[in-house]
Amino acid sequence: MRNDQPYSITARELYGAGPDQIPDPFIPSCHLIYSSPATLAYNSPGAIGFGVKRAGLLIPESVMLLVSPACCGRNSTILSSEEGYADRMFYLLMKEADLVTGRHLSRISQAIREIAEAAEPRPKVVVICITCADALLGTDLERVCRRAEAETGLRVVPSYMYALEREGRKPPMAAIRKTIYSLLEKGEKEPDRINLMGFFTPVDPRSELFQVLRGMGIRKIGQVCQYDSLDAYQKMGRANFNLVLHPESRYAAEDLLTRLGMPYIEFPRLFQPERIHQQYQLLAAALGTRAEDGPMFEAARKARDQFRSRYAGLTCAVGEMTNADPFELAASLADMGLRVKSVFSNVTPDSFPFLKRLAAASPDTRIYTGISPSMIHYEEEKDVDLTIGKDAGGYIPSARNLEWFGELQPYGFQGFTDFLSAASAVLEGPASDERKGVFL
Amino acid sequence: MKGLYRYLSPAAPDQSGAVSVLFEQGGLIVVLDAGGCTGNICGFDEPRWFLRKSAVYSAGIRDMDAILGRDDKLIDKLQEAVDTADARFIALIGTPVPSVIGTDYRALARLARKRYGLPVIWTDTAGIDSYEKGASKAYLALIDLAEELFGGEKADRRAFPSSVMPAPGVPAAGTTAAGSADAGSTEAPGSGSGSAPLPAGRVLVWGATPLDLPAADGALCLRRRIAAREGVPEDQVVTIGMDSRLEDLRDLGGVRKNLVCAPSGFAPARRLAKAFGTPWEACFPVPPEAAGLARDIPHACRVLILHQQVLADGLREVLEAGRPDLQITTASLFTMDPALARPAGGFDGLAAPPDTELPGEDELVRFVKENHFDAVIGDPIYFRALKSPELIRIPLAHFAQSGGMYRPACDEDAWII
Repeated sequence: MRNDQPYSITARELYGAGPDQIPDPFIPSCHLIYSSPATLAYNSPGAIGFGVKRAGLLIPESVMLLVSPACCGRNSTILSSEEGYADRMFYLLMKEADLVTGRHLSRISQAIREIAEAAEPRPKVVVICITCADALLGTDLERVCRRAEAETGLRVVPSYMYALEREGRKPPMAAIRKTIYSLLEKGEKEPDRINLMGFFTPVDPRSELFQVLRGMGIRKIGQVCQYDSLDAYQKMGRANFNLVLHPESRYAAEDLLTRLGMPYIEFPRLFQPERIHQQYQLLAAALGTRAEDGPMFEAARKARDQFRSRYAGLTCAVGEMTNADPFELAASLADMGLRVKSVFSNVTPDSFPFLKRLAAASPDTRIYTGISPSMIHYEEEKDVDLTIGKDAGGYIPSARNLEWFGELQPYGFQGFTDFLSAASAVLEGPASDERKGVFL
Repeated sequence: MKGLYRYLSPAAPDQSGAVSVLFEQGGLIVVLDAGGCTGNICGFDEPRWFLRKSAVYSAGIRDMDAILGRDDKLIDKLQEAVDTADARFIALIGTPVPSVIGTDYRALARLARKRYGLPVIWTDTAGIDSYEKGASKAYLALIDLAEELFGGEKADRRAFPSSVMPAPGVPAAGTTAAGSADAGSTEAPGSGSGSAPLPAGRVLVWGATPLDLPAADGALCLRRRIAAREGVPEDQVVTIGMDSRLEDLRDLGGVRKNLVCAPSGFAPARRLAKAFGTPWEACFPVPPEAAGLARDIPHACRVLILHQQVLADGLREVLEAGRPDLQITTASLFTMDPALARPAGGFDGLAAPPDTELPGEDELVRFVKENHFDAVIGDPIYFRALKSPELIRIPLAHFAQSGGMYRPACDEDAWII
């Protein structure tokens, strides 16, 4: 019998299933993966925003050599130009015989020498990126890089764009985060220095996070994206500990713990004032100090109450292409009295603490997974006032949309109040253009 | 060194070309990849993906699936898509992953057909070759599919290997995948025409996909220009791959003429010429306004047009009509048919090299330098590698090279500076 309904499940049912029983439609290896425009970020680990390639180039004074079949570098043709890293990307294309013999690996050192001549300025680091073909060939890239370093005199760093291992222990975006920090060397520890890990672009400097941390005696706060030179980047090796703002950095943080003895604390981005406040207090307690966030906390609560009084009862939908965890944001919106009709997102075990909140606050919210083959039948829901996230805006083009997907990363009370301001501006502004045909 | 791209970046690969041909044909398209290839195909090489729904799926292959060769799991996975998409056939699109593990497409197709009762076609694309080779394979597979679905008076004259699992009782021809049979043939264009009068009927245009047409309305404009050139009503001109349906491939033996507007169309046109005696020719009618592209080129210059071969030839024809003082050569980083290439020549002391297929970046740089071209007309991406300050650079976007970066809003805009 033909199924013409898109798969969805309520928040209550999904939370009830538990992290060990996530339904098959949310597990990519259980079915074909539908390609709607909303799944572009999912479908390619090098697709849009910060994929593996752009992320790897966060290492200062580096260039990247993608060693792969031509198809793996195709998106870089467009994205590297749009996002400004075209002159730092180089390609060594595999031939058909290489798929069997692995002979392309023997050409890497020569390629690096030619790149070093062509690149302006001359790089100090070459990040080698290999893809699924080499994963299946069993390429030992670390060995290849060691040999290339010896032959060229440049630092050569391995990185992996293995879409085949997306649900494995080291999915591509987690692995590249480890690569980014892999050149850090152990320095003399500075008690007042920490690193923020998790985002590829800076945390909005207006965030109170910096002020609150300074109040705790932390005066030097490093983010990998802020360093222009390899020498400056090495300051991160002197950090007392790391704050992990995004769970995909956990693997990299573990590596720094093992390699440099640098502990870490998970410190996720939240959109609920009480929880933000609580998180600051817990950090302060762990450090044996105080978090002076009172005025910011009050201001955030006041902004939240005003938003609630004006917009409670509106209907919204939340996607995953946004600077927030979709389930955490959906739960927070439900807490503010909005009716969260749907969430478009993949689900991992990391989602469950937030799903718990959503299931309690809005148990009937329907969760869709953009990758289910049944999503070819998704039809726009008509009674939605606001969508949040680029993908949600695509699924429901007639609703007002807040993409909330900028390069500066919102965080803390400031991020929360900025979100409310942006949402208010969208809701009070002109109606959304009909974007049908742009995103299906 | 060969294969190293320091200035350019990879063009659309063969798997994108295959999907481009099949996108509008109503099939369930399954890219045999882990997800990244599908993301690249849909997000960067298929502009229609943002405009209409098409049943394009990634097989979502994972490492252990590949290592253990779990074809049965892939067949199982098709179930939900078959149940939810109203597909007339299944198309399996190869990528590097099945190439490395040596997937037997024929066996996979047989399993899928047996399980779901739908015709199954495939392209043994590997993500290594450029787009036009994959598009060629998809065209040949489509012809096989059409023969199976619609039959035809001369269907029994099929002379080429098949990439479709045939209906029960019809023996499959050949043993290799589509696209391999006629590639590289040097049969002269139009050789199928003979001296018999052209039969009445439609004109089919092969090679017409967004990867080779200038803009979203490129197929429409091309049909209009071809209709005017051929003296047939517009609705008798069908661009296979864009604005066409599977039904347009009915009665392939009865078409009046096959036109090839891009190199991916050579193989299907030759195959149909051999099977049905249908005449064909390579032809990309370029509007006369395109002559303006040469307006800033000084008198008596050497000019290089870098594009897909058939479009480049069409543009050269228009430019030479208005500017006989120019010595124009065409070259391409994609397949060129030697039979269509103009040999070395020259006049008034201006030597011109032969039209040349360039394997890569190094060869492009050397070709331009050694032949002392004064002007290059081509995709702006090429200009990254052509750094001589004296060179006149005239942009002419090619979607297969630069994707949507320089794509004009409409066909008309493509031909003006």
